[in-house]
Amino acid sequence: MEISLSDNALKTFARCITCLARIGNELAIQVYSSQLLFHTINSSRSAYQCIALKPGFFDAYNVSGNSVQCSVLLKAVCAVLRTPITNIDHLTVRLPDPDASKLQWILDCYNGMRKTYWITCNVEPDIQHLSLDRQKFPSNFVVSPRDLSRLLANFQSSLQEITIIATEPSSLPLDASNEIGGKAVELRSYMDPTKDNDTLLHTQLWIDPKEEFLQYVHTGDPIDVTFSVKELKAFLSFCEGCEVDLHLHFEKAGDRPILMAPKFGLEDGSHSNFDATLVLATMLISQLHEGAASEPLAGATRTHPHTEERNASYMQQENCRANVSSELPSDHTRIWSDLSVSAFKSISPLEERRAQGETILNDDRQREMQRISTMQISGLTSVPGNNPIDSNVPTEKDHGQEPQDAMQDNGQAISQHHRSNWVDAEEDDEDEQDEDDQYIQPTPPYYEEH
Amino acid sequence: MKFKAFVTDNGVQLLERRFLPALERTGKSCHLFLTRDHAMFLHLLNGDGVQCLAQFRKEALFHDYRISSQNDDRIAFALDLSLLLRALRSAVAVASSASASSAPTRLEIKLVKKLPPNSTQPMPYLTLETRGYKSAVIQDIPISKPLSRAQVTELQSALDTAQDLPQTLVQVPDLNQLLNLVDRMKQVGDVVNVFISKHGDLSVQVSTTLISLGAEFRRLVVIGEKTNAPAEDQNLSAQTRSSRSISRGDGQYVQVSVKHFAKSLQCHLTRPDCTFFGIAPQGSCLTVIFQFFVPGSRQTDKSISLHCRLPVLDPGSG
Repeated sequence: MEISLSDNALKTFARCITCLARIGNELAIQVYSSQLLFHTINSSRSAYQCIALKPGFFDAYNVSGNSVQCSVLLKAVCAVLRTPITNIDHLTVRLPDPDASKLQWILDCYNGMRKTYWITCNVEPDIQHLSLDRQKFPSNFVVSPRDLSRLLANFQSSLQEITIIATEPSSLPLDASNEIGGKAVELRSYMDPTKDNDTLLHTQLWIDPKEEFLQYVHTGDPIDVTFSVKELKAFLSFCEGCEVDLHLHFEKAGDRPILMAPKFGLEDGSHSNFDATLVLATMLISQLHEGAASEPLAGATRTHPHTEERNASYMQQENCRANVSSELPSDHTRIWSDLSVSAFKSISPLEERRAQGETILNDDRQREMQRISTMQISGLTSVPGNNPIDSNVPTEKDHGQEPQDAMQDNGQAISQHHRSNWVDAEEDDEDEQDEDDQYIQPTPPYYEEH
Repeated sequence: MKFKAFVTDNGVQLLERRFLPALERTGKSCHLFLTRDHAMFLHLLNGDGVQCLAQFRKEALFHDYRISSQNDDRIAFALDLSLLLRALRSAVAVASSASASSAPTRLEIKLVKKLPPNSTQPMPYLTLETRGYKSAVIQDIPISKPLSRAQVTELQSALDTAQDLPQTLVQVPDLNQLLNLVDRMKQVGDVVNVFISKHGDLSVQVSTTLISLGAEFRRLVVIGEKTNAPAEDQNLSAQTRSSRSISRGDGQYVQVSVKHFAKSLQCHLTRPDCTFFGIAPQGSCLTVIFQFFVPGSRQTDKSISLHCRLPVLDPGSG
C-alpha cells in the first residue's frame, strides 16, 4: 500500500489528524480500493470519529490486493506532522506489505530534505465500526463554525458538558408582544451532579435558530441532549479549517448518540473527496425534568445515587439507569448502550476506564452483538464497497414514545416559555420569594426613597 | 437581603473593558461590597498580598440600583473575577445584537438564590440577564455566602484602614515607562527598593550581588507635604541624595516584592489619567493611587477611585 498527497490535500490531511488526535489515542487505518478510512475512539468509548478519504483526494493511491488495515498511535503521527505543512512538498505513506510491522511516512520538503519515519503498528489493532444513518435522526441543525464558536464563547471555557434543548420554532414574529419570539433553542451548561459545581459559571443561552443557524429541523415536543464539549470543539476547529459548515444530528437524551458531520455545499456532498463523522454519546438523564428537582420528593430521589460508595460506582450507575427507566422510558439503542454507559462513567471517579458490558444479554442483544462481530469480520475480509458512513442498514429500533403531555409540560417549564427566566414586569413576585427564603436573612420590603 | 440593578453602558465600558481585566490580574477572586451609595471591588482580606480597592459611586455603573439588607443595607460576598468577566462579556455580546432593533440595552444584575440541577441545597448567585435580537442569556455566577454582620464589620474596618493616604504623594508622568522597567526588574531579583522624597524624587531599584537595575524620577509633581530640594544636593549621586534626604526626614525608603509591585501596575489596564506613589507613615506600606478624569476634562472624576497597597518586606527607615 502506498499513498501520497500534497498542497491543499496535505493541509486537509493534517487537519484530519489533528482532529482525530483530540478525540482518541489510536488511529485505525483501513485502506480499500474505493476509499481510505481513519477511525479513532476515545478511552471512555464515548466519542467515535471516522474520516473517509477517496482516491481522488490523493496524488497517488495504490493498494496491493483488496484491502490493508493497521493501527498506530496518533501521537506518533502528530510528531511526523510537527514539520510545518508549508515546508512539505509532498507526503508519502507506505506499508510494504499487509503484515508489515511498521508504517513508513516520508516527507519530501521544499528545501530538498527528505525525512523518513517508521511508526510501529499496534500488535492488536482496535478496529471499530459504527454505522449510523444520519437521515434517521429526527432533529438537526446546520451552523457555521464561526457562529458556533461565538455562541460557545458565552460559556466558561473549562465547561465539560453542554445541553442543547430544542423546541418547535414559534411562528410569532420577533416584534410581537411575546418578547420570547422565535428563540426556540437553548444551550445550557451542564452541572455534573457528582462533582463540586461551586466554582462553575452556569449559563443558559436561548437563540433564534432562524438567525443563528443555517438550517434547523425539529418538530413536536421539546427534546434535549447533553454531550461533551471537548470533542465538539475539536470537530468545530476541523470544520472551520476546512471552510465547511457543521451539521449536527440528534434525537433525544438517553441511549441516543448525536452525530456531527461537515455540511458541504451540495446536499449529498458527493462532489467532495473526503467526509467525516463524529459520534458522541449523550447523558442518560434528560435535563428536561430539571423542574421536578425543586419538589422535595423528586429531589430526595435524585440525590440517592450520591450516597453510593466510591467503589460501587457501577452500582451508582445502575441506580441512575433505574431512575431513568422509572421516570423516562427510553428507546433502547443496543449498539450505543455501552458507549452511553461509558459516557456516564466518564464523569465518575473511575473515569477513563473502559465500559463493562452488561452481564446478561437478551436474545436480541446477543444477535446484535453477533452482527457487530460480523461487521468487523467483514472489514477484515475487505468486502468491496463497504462504506460504514453511508450504510443504509438501520441499527436502531424505536420503542414507544414519550408521554406527550408530561414532556410538553416539562419542556415548557424549562425552556423559553418559563417566565422566571426572563426580565419581566413580575419582579415583585420574585422579590417576595426572595424574602421568604430561609437561607438569606429576611428583610423588610424595599421602599424606594423619594 | 436583596440587590438588583441595571448595568449602564458606561458601567459596561468601565467594568468589561478596563477594571475587571485589571482586577483579575491583581487577584483571582475578590469581595464585591455593595452599600446604598457605592459598589466596591476589594482585595483586602488576602493576607500578605497586594490590597486593591476599586470604588464606584453607584451611578457610575448602574441605574435603578436597589439594595436592602438587615445590616444597614450592606451586602458583601466573594466571587471569581474571571467568571464575572466571562459572564459580562457574554451578556454584552448578546445585548449588542439588540442594536438592530434600536431597543435600549437592559442588562440586569441581581443577587439570587437558586437550586442547582440535581441538588437540594440552594446556592447564592450573582446573576446577569439580558436579551438581544438573536438570543437571550442568563449567566449565574457562583458566589460565596454573603458575609455575616461580623464579617462585614471586619471588611468595613479593613476598608477604613486602607483609605488612609500617605502624607506625600508623587506623580509618575509615564506609567508605561515604569511598566517596562519593572518587567526587566523581574529578571534581576525579587526585591525592589523604593525611595520617595517630599521634593518630588522617586527611585526604584533592584540590586543583587552582581547587578543593579533601577531608575530615578526627579522633580515630580508632589501632592501633600512638600519641601524644596537642597541646592547643595544637585550634583550628588542618586544614592547619596537619597541617604541625605532620609537623614533630613524629608524622604522615606521601603522594600517591596517585585511581584507585588508589578501586580499593582497591572492597574494600568484601567487607563488611569494620573498615577501617584506614596509611602505610608512609619513605612507600613507602599501606596499606589490611580486617578481618573471626567471624560473630556482634567477634572478628577470623584465617582471612581482605585488604589493599591503593597506590603513592605522591611520597615522603612523613616
